[in-house]
Amino acid sequence: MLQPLAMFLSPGFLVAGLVLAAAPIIIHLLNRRRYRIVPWAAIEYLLAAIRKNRRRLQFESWLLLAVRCAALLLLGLALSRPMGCTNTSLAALGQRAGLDVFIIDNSYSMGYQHPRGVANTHLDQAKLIARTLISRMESGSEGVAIVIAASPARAIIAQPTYDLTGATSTIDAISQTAAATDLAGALRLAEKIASQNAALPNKHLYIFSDSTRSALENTQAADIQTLSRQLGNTYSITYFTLGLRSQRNIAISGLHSNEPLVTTKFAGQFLTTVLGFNTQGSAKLQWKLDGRLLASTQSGSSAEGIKAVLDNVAITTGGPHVLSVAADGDDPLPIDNVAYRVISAAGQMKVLLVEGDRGSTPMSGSASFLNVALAPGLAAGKSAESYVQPTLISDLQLPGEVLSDYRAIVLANVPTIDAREADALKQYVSTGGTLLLFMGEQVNAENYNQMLLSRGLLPGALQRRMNAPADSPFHFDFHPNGALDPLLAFLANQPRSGLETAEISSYWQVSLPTNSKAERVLDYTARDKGSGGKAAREGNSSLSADPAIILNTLGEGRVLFFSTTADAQWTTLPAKPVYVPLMHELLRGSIVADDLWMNLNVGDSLSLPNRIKLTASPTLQSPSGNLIPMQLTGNPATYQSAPLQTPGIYHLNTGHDVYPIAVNPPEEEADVRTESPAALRAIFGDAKIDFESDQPPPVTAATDQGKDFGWIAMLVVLGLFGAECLMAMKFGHYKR
Amino acid sequence: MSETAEDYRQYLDPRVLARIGSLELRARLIVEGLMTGSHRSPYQGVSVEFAQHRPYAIGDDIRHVDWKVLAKTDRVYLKQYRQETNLQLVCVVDASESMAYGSNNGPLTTNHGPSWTKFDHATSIAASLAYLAIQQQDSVGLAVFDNELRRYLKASNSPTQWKQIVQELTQQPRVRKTQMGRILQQLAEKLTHRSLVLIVSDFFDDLESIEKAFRLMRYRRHELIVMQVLDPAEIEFPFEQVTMFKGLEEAGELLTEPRALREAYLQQLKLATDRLRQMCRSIDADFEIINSGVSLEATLGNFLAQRAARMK
Repeated sequence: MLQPLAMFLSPGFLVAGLVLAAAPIIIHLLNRRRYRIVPWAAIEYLLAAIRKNRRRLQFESWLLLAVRCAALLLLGLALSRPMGCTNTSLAALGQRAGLDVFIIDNSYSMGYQHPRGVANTHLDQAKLIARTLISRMESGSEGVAIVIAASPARAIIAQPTYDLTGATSTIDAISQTAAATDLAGALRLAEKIASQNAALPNKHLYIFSDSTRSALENTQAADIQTLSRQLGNTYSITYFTLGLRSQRNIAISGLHSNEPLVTTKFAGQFLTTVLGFNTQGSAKLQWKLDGRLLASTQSGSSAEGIKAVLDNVAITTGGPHVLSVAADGDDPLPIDNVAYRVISAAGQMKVLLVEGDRGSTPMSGSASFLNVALAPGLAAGKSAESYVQPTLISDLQLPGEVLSDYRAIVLANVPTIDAREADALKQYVSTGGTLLLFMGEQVNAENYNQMLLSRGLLPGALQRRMNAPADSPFHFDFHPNGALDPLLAFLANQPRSGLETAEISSYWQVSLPTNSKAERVLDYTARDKGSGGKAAREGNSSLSADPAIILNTLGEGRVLFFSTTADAQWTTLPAKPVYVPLMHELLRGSIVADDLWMNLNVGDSLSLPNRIKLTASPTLQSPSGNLIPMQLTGNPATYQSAPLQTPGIYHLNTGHDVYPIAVNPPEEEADVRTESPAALRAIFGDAKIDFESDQPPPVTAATDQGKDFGWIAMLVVLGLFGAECLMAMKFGHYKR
Repeated sequence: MSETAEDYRQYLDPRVLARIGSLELRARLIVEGLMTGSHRSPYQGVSVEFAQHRPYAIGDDIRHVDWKVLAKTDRVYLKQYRQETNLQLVCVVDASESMAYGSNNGPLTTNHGPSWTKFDHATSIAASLAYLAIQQQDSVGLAVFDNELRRYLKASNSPTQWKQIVQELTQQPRVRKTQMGRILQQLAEKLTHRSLVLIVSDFFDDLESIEKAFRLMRYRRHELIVMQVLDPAEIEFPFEQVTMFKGLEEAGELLTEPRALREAYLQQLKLATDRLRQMCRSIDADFEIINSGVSLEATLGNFLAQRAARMK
């Protein structure tokens, strides 16, 4: 039963109508007080007319007054939109009024193929049911809003429309996406629409989804439950389950290289995950590189995923390459049967070595040692045997270098860094570059703390220089059989690498902040208690073990800090066999793969890194050949596209180069197993929801409650105004 | 129609006449206007005394064509003679308070000139017809009344009679309630010769007593011409807003919504007028309703033409 005030959509108009209804009476009384005086000769005839017609004139006058008052009162009543009349025959006169919000899940799992008449997929069937429901609505009295639940959810009709034909066309235009489900976002939008249209009665929320685990059992589950309970108080909710109990799907996901840096010098190993839901048997995988078939393998599949590996993939040319894995077979949801990966193979990795030892000769400075270590043949004047292409310069030449030309920059024993250089280095690292810092005699700790620490280029402040007694040098806390940092994993179970026996006479002690997220790759042995390196690696700075190698992340890039020298000045490490491979692995491990920006998921926007050279305005072409606009946004300005909605290989043309861009469907949407009815009720927090199947519900008699009688009242008002005109004319109140 | 005729006719509009202070001048203008416009006098006929020639107009009786003039000049002229009658015209004019009503400054016009009352209209008619009669050597008398017979001039055809009539019509006050029936009976006693009695009034009085007086006059073999003068506002009742109608002649007042009452009022007026018309018809008297808002040319012209037609 409606509350008295809730029986009117706009009670204010009713009050206004009540006030206005008094207007004719007031005007009548005022007119009786304000009259003109006319001397009149034929007064006898007037008096006779009055005598003869007094009763009729009075009746006409009162009738006219009553009609005018009633018309104004009813006008207010009509505008106040009266609701109600429960289960009475009068209700047949009213129109069903209200708000109908449709949430239609068009995530990629709704593309599941299951023919039902003209509907081929779940989404087709959802649109069919929604159209059927709209066709049963009464035009002009029920507002329709439509929200699509593919991530990110958005309202395609946010302001309720009374144009039901337009609403049907909008539903027809909803397209299948390859995005994940954002049901919580859609429910939030429905809540917003309800709050913006609080005055509308009879709010109905129709949700169309396949009820897959991926859509409901995710990080949004708590939000879905809370929102459902709230919406249950606002809407009457009907949930249409389009998914089948036995839905099956095979999906390929997580294709990646086993190494952080793929080079042309070494064969690579690539892995992918084969997901199988409600499926039996194995999947046949086809591995392709740049469209060329590499291999066909068999792989099992499971809901948890089974790793499939392809070894010895040789990439002979540097630059981006497209690797793809596709699963053959009959799958009702084929969109996730292929995964793409763009791999940037390093053919010649340019590294800038900055030497701080002024006037040093070959093999006499830190950077020179590194130069030899990273490219032995090249340093000796022979042909390059390494993929690393170092360039050795003095620190005085650093300001003249274009840093973005290099994948890594090494500062070895550089005395000081000025503010301009520090800003340039920060910009370089933030946009994906790698900086390696090696200490030495020349290093000015105060300058480093001022210039580099404040810009995040140092993991912590340089506290003091630690010097060991001549008879008791420092050692690295390295245990080849213990737990090792991934950067040192290549030394696992190699007891004679020399790392644990290398002596260090001096190093710079670094004070790591307590909340530092820097990764301690290697520590020095603790001197006072002789505690193990494992304890030191757990990051408790209260221990006496100082860090020797620290890896820190800044923006998209990394900074590797080496607290002693790269040459033999402070340590005997360069004389050890491990020196060359260690320097290679530290470099390779700290290099950030520069292909991350080329590997996206559906719904991501392509953001062009600033290091990419442009010789023309960049253009992005979709897999179907459509051009997608790129716009400059942000500060510093970068080219960015709109969210990419179609999986596949895009092509970015920078004028200078063409880059492939891989866009994969979100792997979390692959789990198409549906929730049981009991689980669904629990997920929606036991909110009052009518669960329906995948068919339009039967036509039921519309409830009488909450019907809108505004139009009926308006018709009566029009009738009264017409009657007033006729009566006034008949009674001689209008000029003829 | 000639330019001169146009000039005269403009003076026959009541709103123009209202600006002419002198009733004598008004009457002359009216009669000259009438004569110039029609070129024939309804009182002209066959007599021994030649009056004038005038050009033939279509519809004229060819018996009056002067054949000698036609033979000499080849133009068709009619001979006109002064009619010799022993007609005695008595103009009876109602000067009661109800005759003082005039809406020419009221709802019918935006003209802010002097008001043209029913009494103005009545006196203009009386003076005009008196002038016409005297021009034809007939005797003219005058009776002016309100609740009493205020003035009575015996009929005479002396040249000064018309000036006296005009003077009396101009001076009469109009503030009293009428008692027309009694006064007409008194007048009937006074008229010793058989007369043509012209009664000009709004007849807002007891019609039964009036009827008695009319019958008495007819019994005395007087011929009656009854002219009921009504103001346009009385005929159309054009009031819109709530109005307090204050009755003249101490007849009370009424606050009412005029639009609602209009139809009933007009019905009552029609009833009274119809009764008066019926009354006149029953005693073989001429009856004419005169709208004081309408040009006197049309009013008098129509009346005289109809009367001439009946006389034939």
